[in-house]
Amino acid sequence: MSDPRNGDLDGDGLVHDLLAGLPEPTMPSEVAARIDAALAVEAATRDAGGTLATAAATVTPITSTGSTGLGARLRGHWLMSAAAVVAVLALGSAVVVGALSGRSPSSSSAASGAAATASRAPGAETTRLSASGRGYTKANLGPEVLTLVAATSTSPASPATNDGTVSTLAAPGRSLIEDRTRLAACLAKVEEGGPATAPVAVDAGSFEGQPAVVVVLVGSATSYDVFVVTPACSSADATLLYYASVRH
Amino acid sequence: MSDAEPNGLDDRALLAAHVAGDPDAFGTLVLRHRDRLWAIALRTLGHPEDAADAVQNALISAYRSAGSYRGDAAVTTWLHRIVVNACLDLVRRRTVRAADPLPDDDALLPAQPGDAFASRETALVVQQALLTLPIEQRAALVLVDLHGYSVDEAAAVLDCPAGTVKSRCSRGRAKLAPLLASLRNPDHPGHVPPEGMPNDQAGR
Repeated sequence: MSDPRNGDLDGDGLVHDLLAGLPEPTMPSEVAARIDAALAVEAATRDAGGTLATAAATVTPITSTGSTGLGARLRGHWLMSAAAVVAVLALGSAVVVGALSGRSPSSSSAASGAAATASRAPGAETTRLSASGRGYTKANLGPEVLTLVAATSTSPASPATNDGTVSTLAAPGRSLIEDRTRLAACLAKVEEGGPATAPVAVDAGSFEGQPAVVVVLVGSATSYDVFVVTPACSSADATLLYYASVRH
Repeated sequence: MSDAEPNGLDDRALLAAHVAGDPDAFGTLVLRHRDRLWAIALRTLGHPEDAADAVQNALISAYRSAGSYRGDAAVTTWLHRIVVNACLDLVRRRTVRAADPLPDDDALLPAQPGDAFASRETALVVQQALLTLPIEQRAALVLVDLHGYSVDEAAAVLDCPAGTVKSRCSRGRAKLAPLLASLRNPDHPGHVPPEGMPNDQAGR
């Protein structure tokens, strides 16, 4: 869980201060001249062609962050990211998979063995998948998440000793919990190109009264990153309802 | 981020004048903001040539689409959004750049008056660490931590929820923390050179 290289850092503060301390560069004169020339061409086009409105009609809009025009290369990257998370989930939650599918614990022992050699986020020894139906709110999110994670760490890695939340799936987010591929795609979307790490816990319940799935990831040596997504979360729709960094 | 200018037209008035046909208005607007636009692009992309491409593409787009500006955000926010989107678009389209040699240090960090060698080296390490982040996290940190945007302002620029900006910043800082640990106490016997950074930068 701890990284010795984090030891001298005071959370976000030092990183923020170092970033804020970077000097602000000024635009080099040659770049300014190049841009002035490009805009002069635009102005000449405008003068020759009439109104700005007609010129604007020919513009190809710049792709926005959330638009779909990312092209085949990005889609390929996206699929790779999702596949990587699927692999991590398959390893990180091997025991719970057994519970979900009704298989005996021993049937997933090979996967568990593979998990022991896999590279994982600190603290993400197993991913706890549950549908507790908990009523999360902005106010109680921190304590509830810590309770959720504590249950993970105190529960032996065996479905037989799990607290039963997996076998009593009832919350609206159950379909997301059960659909490993969609869950992985959702997590990859939430992570936005970050490393494929196994969540510490994923729990379906509600957030501020609406159906939601809470995803707990290792944030730093002293915190969890908690993402609250809709039960419909997928690669196409990863609506983030809420985010919080929870210290532990 | 006020549009108001003590001398001359404010940003909104300049943009309106441009749309109405004033041949000098857009140039005045560019002159007013180009250093900040350049800084955002350079820090986000990490390469002067890419930054120049992104700013040029963005300003041409802004020039042409000024008529679509609805005034629901500050002109600076609108301009910065176009520049950031141009940066993101460039990164997604251009995979070759990652294999290109890094630019000269001077291109990224022009010498400042009174610039101490140590602080300059620190800045280089920070800049190179920043470039190891995914582009979305980098863009959020550039706006919030480097340029002092509030989370809400950055969300407006990035066209995403404030929570997304928070998460991008938080996770970005978490990734940077081990890379920048050496800057806290480089003389510590347990000092480990930052990982994930170009070899010619990490050990300086």
